[in-house]
Amino acid sequence: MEEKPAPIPTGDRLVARPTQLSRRAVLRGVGASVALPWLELMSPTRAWGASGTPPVRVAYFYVPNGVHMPAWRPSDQQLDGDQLGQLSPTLAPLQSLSDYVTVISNLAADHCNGEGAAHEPAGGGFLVGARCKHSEQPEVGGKSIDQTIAQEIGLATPIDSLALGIDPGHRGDHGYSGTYMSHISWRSPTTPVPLELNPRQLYDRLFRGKRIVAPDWNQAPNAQAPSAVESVEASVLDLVREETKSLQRQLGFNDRRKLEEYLEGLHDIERRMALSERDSHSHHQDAFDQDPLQHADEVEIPPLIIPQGKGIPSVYAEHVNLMLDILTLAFQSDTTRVASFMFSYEKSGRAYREVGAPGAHHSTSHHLQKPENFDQLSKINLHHMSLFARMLERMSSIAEGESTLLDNVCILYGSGISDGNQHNHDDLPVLVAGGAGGALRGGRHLKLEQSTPICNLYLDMLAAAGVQREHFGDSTAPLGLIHPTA
Amino acid sequence: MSGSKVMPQPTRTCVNWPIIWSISLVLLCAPGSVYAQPGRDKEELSWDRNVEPMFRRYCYRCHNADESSGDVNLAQDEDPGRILQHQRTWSTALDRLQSGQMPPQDEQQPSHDQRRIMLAFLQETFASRDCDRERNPGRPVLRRLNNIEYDNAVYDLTRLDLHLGKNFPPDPTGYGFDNNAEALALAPAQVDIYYSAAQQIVSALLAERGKNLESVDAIFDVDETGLREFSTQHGLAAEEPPDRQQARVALNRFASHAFRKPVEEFYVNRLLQIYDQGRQQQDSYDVALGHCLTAILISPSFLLRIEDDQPGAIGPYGVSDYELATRLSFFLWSRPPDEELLNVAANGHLHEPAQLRAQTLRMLSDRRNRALVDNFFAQWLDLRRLETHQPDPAVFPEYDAQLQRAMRDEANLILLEIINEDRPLTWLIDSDHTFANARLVNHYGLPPIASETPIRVELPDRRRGGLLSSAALLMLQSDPARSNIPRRGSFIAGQWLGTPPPPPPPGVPPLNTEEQGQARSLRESFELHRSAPTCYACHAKIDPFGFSLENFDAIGRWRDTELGLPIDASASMESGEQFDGIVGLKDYMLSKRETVLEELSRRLMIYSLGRGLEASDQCVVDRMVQAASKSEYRFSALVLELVTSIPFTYRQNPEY
Repeated sequence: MEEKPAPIPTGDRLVARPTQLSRRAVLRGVGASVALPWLELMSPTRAWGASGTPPVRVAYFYVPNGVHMPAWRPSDQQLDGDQLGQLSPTLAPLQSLSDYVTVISNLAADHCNGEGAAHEPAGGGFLVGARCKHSEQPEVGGKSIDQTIAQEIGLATPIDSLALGIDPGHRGDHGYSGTYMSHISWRSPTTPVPLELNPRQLYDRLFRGKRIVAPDWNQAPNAQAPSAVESVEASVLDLVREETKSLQRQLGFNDRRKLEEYLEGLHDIERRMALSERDSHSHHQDAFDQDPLQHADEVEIPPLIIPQGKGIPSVYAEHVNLMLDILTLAFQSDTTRVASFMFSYEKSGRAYREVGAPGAHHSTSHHLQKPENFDQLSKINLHHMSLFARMLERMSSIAEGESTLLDNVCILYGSGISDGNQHNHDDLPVLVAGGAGGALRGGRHLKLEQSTPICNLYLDMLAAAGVQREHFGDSTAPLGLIHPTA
Repeated sequence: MSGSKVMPQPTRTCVNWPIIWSISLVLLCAPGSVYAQPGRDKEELSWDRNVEPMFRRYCYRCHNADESSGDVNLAQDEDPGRILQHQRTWSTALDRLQSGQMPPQDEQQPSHDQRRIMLAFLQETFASRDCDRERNPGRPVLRRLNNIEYDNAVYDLTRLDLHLGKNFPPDPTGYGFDNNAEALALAPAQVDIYYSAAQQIVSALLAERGKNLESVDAIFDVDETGLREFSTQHGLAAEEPPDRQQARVALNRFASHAFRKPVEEFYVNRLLQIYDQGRQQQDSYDVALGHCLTAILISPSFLLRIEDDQPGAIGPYGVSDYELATRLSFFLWSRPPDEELLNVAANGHLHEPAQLRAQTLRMLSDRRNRALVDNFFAQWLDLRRLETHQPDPAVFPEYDAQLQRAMRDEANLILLEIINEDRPLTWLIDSDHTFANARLVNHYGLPPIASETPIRVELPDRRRGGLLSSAALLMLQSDPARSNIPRRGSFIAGQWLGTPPPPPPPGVPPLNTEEQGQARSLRESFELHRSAPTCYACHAKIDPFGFSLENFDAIGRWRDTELGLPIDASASMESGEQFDGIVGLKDYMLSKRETVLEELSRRLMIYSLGRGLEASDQCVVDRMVQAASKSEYRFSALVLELVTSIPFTYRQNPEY
């Protein structure tokens, strides 16, 4: 880690050390036209009010093959209430952030069960809350929770959501498509969100040709609607849309749906173009260009080192860090508010030699109660957790008005499998991090009733994102984690 | 092709176990098979009166919707028609019944006569499928170009090595392939990525413009001849300004190439409106044309393989020659048709069997056939993981990038030889030579050679030769530090013989055979099996293959001992068949070559059509196997039978 600003506790809230101002543009291509994305999006569904309060961003982090639960479970039985005491070995990297962490025990994902296969439906079904179809042609039981939220609040940002990962995945087994194991985010039962693995391409798609700017959350947003764009680019998209629509009329039902998604994609591009079009005329833009003091809002770009060539670091941890830095940047600049991330695909056989776990992860997860396997699993779990903690720490150092980015996120970290040897989908390893805009109090260990549906937690996260919903999947009632501040 | 009877092959009895039950149930569920109901005239074989009660008593009790032992539900098929739809499942049932593996020993057994009747009924039912009358092309699918096809298509259009698709989000897979129509969804983020890629392509073209790159200039420039030809064919309005005429011809050419068929005039006119708009804002000719190229490159007609319906058509109809050219070329080359193929299509001759065969053979011997190795074989045999598989350096310090490349080259050259020189597919199992460089012969313990590049090497014995005993394949089915007996076994049972084991029941740990290099622990493991029948049922079916490969370590090197103890590579199947080591396994696999070929045919068909198979597709699979058997198992025989089949050359309207 470059700079690791220690959060300064003030009362019950952490305030980050003021961000050091820097115009360092480490990446090529940073600096042309600018987006102030949050300014223009005045869609009525937006999650925050006219006060300019930073919105809550939600994310879902997935670890495959379950975790070694004895090293995960907080050993706080002796503590009063739900206080989260000394963290377990796997959770130890979160110690300095524990006020932002809620560990939740006894959640279950019945929808991760599948006819004769454990890993496929665990990945594919995890965020969907319904069972996956037993098929080589992937079909999950509905829309995943992140996409459900993205559909509601995604219009407020240039990119509605991100689905990020590290490894491309593997063929399926036992009559299940491999897609289930590599994709947790689903726009529709048959459409997984494309999984972005390449940091360079991701960065280019989000930020190329733009000066990255964080919104000034103290300002009330400007309520003007985006204007129509009359550029050649717009005409190009018009033509493709016409063409798509005319093709659509000739196709069967399923294929028409495919083109429907295509049209939506074209629409997203247009919306983004309309945004940047308006940006260039906004007075904020002028101010940025003219008044050096206004550079206060320019994002301090972390030293993203994107390797030459393919653009993917060869060291796992560097790849993860780079992806998470870009994710952080996307949240900070309000480029998107919804994301998912997979540390690897379900049933991954990645070897983590660099942390002393040379066995294939999946093989090791079938530990057969052998201490050496437990040892390797704990090391893998700890490694993932350290990378996650590093991101949270970065977020805690990014100021957003009076709060930090960490105060305004609500991030789930977990797996659809508990014990990799048993493939059980109850007693899941799950925690939630972030302040959810002040609505989520951390430092807790929630010991729920056995087999409480994880979809109950999704209800809380829906509430945190400001989305009104009474049911999701097999939910019974929210866990009551979210207490909106007045 | 005449009266192919779908009879279970005699060689498949006894030792053939669990079919891809689960897959087959999913696969074979489309209606529309042509069958004649057997047994109506013969009381003995009457389903309702005689046969069904037998199945109910001896099979359904464990294989029903609630219990479905081994993931098999037979009880759902309440009439012979349904049995035909689920033929793969039922032909396994036939095998089991015939070999006496089913019903299990501890269950009620049918009498000899009852067994005979049940078998006769199934054989008659399978034989009743009338493949001569079978004309079901299967459900029509809409295929998006996958990332590899996209890169190839862009290269063919621009001759620029941009490889943008390599960095796209990975393509979802279905049936083990990344070109499955249903799995290749088209989410909005994907469109964004295509858009950004199209802009990069056009920027690259504009950047290369005027650098004497003929291929790039040929996109923008139109000479007198080009104008004249266009004018003769389509007409050019005299009042149209020269630059616009030039743009018209250039766009017509580029779009036709990109869409793999001639484009209509109104589309070019729409493109020209964009061109005009660019010119009005003072863009140069090149830049204005570039806007139009972007539009073409994000058009669904480029990114998707759209086939036209025949409005009002009730039954199946032959696809157009252009569509056939596209099907053929993406199948064999993973790329759009080349000029020659398009010309045959333009002349309307491609659907003629002689032309189709000639073009297929031409394409099979063209170096672009490499796509079959990289995309079909490498996915079928899981060889793509070679790039990412990491043996444990603490155990195998000698493994490095050179060795990895030597392994990959060997596998590729074995496959390329079979395709290029049309050699027997049995060479996948066994061959008297291989392709190796100095490093690999050293790895294999063969007499040294000097060559750094792989060359043909004659083999002194049968321990190497073929893919089955190649280091690449053996290593990839191992763990980083040690061989993995059940994984290797399951791989051979599933990918080669089409009979993957059913998944382990929940809560039961997979058998840990990782340390069974020792004879003692091997025996121990069998004892463990016996003590846990749930494990035994499956592992007895896969482990023998793995045992026979125990002479190969986790990087595919030969070993006679492990940890000082001699390797026991003997294996015995449930059927009682026994074999020893890799040579024994090769003989066993050669004796099952038609089964291997059938599985290969099935996978090739899935790959070529971009969809799972339907019941009627079994007719084509059978013909492919027959054709190959008759021609010394040549790959071309398999391919020719496939590309001339109804599913490959016909389509039907989708359900609206």
